[in-house]
Amino acid sequence: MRRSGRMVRVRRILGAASPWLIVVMLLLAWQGATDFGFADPRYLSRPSTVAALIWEWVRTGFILRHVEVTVVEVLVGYSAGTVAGMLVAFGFFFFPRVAALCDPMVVVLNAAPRAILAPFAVLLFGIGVLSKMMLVLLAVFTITLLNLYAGLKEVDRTIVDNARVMGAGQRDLARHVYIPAALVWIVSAMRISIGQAFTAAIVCELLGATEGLGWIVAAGQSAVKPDWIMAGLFFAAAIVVVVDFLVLAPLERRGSHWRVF
Amino acid sequence: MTRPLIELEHIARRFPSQSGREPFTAVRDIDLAVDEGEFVAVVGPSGCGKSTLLNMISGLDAPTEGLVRIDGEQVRGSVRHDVGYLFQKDALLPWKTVQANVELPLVFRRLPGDHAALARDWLARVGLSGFERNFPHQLSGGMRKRVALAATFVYGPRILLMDEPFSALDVQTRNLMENELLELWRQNRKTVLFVTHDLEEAIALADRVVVLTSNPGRVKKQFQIDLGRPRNVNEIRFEERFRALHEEIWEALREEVARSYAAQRAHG
Repeated sequence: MRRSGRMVRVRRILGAASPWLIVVMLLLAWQGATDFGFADPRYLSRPSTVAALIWEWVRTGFILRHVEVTVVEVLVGYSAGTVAGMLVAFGFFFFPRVAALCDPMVVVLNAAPRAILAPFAVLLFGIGVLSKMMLVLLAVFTITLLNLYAGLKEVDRTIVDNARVMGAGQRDLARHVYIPAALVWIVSAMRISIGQAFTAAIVCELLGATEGLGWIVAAGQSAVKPDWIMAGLFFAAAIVVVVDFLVLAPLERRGSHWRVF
Repeated sequence: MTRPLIELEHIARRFPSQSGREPFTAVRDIDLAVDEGEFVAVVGPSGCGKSTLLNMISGLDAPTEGLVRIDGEQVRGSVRHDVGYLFQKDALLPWKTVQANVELPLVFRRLPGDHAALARDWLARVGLSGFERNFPHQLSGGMRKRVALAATFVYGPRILLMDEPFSALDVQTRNLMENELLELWRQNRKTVLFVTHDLEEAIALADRVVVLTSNPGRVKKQFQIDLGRPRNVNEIRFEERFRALHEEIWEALREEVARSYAAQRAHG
């Protein structure tokens, strides 16, 4: 009994660890390939070099400034985009005629690759943080709008009818039915759009910037320093993972318990 | 002779269909009158427009033709405030506690008085004391129906519209709920219009059973249910008179069920 219990535990730990084992193995393969001459570290760099560089940047505080710039761009654009997307989604929902007029525009906005607008944003708003914020805003706005609008239209007809029979007016419906229902969709849109927000900011930084994670990557490319590119990507990914893990995923878990109907 | 509380006159309801085909006629030529305090069950095959009927009486929907009157007053365009409606599907707000769900109609109606105490009182009457702070998803299907019942009775509507409210429950829970409904009705004497596709349920509960035809729904025949009260739905099924009524009404219903089934098969 005890023995099989231990086996089960070992197996469970192995099961939980195996995705990480794959990552470790890939890193080892990369290291091995560059160490033994199968790949050129001048173009591919190597994990040990990248790790050393990451440590160096953290130790000297060099990275702080760049992380801060990108995070601020994302934070501002993301907040503004979420709020704007929410407002317009509610507007569309309560004024379906406006929604019908704007529908083709929204479809294009969603379908077109937004990265194309990056050069335009830089041209319009300069190489400072404003152009990045605007691009982030646009990406987050579109995702929030589409998710929330679709979610609002899907609010259970019976729940709405029931509230109306119980005496709810338009304002009661908004406050007690639509807004709480929307919260679930807003949080899920926030989860989807955080990655897109960083992508938008970094793409725009690649194009024209003087600081930020995207600038680091661009600088690494023009100076043929692949370890700069890798380390820059590492910090960008790390921020997204931390935000999702610490903030958005717990938020969504809290809200999702009422979606069981 | 006093005027019936609910009157339907030549009601028809057509829904525009997509892709430019003929509009879909849910019900037509419906004439029906329900007296104050009467318990009327409406039976008919699925898709005969039973729910449409209730929607038009509540004011959630409006007839294409004809008139709906409640207490002599025409229902049009707005939801009636003296109507309670129990739906087949769960309609509780999943993000509110049981207590808050029952208080909600009082909030919506801006009724004076102690909402919390009233809600607690009705939750006690449906046997849910102690569950006030639970959320709907933490309750069983039968308990959620009880909450819905409490949330309907709490604001004292004159008319109770019920759309197959117990059809999703298991048989035992369902019979329990039917008996509880009869008891609540005995105490309050609401006017009830109860839609179901279950003939036994209709006979066991109602004073009168109205049989609708298959689509489009019309009133085919009405039957007075002369069984004594109070009733126990578990036992009344075994009475001689119940069986006779069942046979008689089933005779009228059978044809319609067969027709509706054939139509459904034809549409694949």
